Amino acid sequence: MPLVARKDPLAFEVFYDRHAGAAYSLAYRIVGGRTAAEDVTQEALLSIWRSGARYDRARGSVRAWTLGIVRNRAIDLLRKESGRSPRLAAGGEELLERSPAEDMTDTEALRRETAREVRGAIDHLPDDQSRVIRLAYFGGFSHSEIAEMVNEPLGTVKGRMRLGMDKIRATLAEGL
Amino acid sequence: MTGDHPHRDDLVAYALGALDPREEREVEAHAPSCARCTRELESLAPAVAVLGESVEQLEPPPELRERVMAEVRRDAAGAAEQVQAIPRRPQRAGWRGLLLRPAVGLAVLAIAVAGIAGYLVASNGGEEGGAASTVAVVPATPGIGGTLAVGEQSSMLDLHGLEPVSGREVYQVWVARGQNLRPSSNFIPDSGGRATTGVDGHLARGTKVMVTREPHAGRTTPTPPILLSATVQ
Repeated sequence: MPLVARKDPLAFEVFYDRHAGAAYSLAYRIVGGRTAAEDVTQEALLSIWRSGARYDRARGSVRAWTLGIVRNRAIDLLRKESGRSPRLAAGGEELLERSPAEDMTDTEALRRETAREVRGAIDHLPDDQSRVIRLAYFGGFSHSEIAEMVNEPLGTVKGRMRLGMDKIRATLAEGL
Repeated sequence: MTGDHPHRDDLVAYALGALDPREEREVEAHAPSCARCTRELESLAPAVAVLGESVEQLEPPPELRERVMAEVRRDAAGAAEQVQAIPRRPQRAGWRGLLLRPAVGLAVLAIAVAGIAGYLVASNGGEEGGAASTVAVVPATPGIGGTLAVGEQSSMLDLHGLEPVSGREVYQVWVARGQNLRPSSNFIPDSGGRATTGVDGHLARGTKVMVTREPHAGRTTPTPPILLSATVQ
């Protein structure tokens, strides 16, 4: 990252090759279309190129930082396209189920395997916890919107988020 | 909030991007100066990152890499230009090649020295062999300006004051002659809003060169408004 921050195009090329796949995959998962995912990825990566110096090691890995930027851009796009927030109820369920139909190349196999392993940390959550977390992270819904969607008190939704995230954290601490 | 600190549930929701804007502002006002809340948010970061990494992994299209890296190289070239603090020179090979033609070079130099603005600002570079001229573009949008250097076989637009594009947007050059309209090059301005782009083919007197902003490259009809135009004299 220091070289990226110093605006070294070769360093950024390495950065691109290392993180663009994960960035594009997350963008696709959130926005649900190739063109929009490309747009989000391009905007996010160029914003990193132009502000690389703002990366702070204390705030997590480069990958986590990058995906955070991608996620925010993708959610912004969803909100822009839907007026403020993604459609409630039906739209939320679609977001949970969205899955790309995409051919896998050999070079993707390893990255997919890693993703499958990390997904285990989420898949083992109780449905009610997993659901509110995914609606928040992938759907861009606020906790009050989610409370309305799942027809539960706000405090219950918040509690489920906390319990679910604590379990993911514990699973990570055990080395997945 | 519990005491001076946000409730832990709210920190979790913040980490997931699930707070309402007002609550989000409260956390952001408090956490940076609070070691306890900062620690809590830092400890949540890996779990949030797992969510982003858990999705089906896809291969981004090669064109995306080309687009991103083209923009990066363009930015880097522009930055190097500023650092060197030398008079701005066009970077692209085509533009450099055009400058090697004496007539065009002289016409551009005339603009730089005189600093003339207006519809038609430069004269013909020569009557015989290598006729060339430079005309100032007529902006339809405030803030945009530049010149069109007209060569025999190709011409060059040098523009400034362009707004950045987003996503797959590009600026598109159109060439109109009588009733015929054809797309020419498309381009993306650098971070300073400048762009230099070639216009292919011979531009006869009366030909109009225009620029629009298009949602993506490859359009065959312009999307209004016309941002600027220049007519070859």
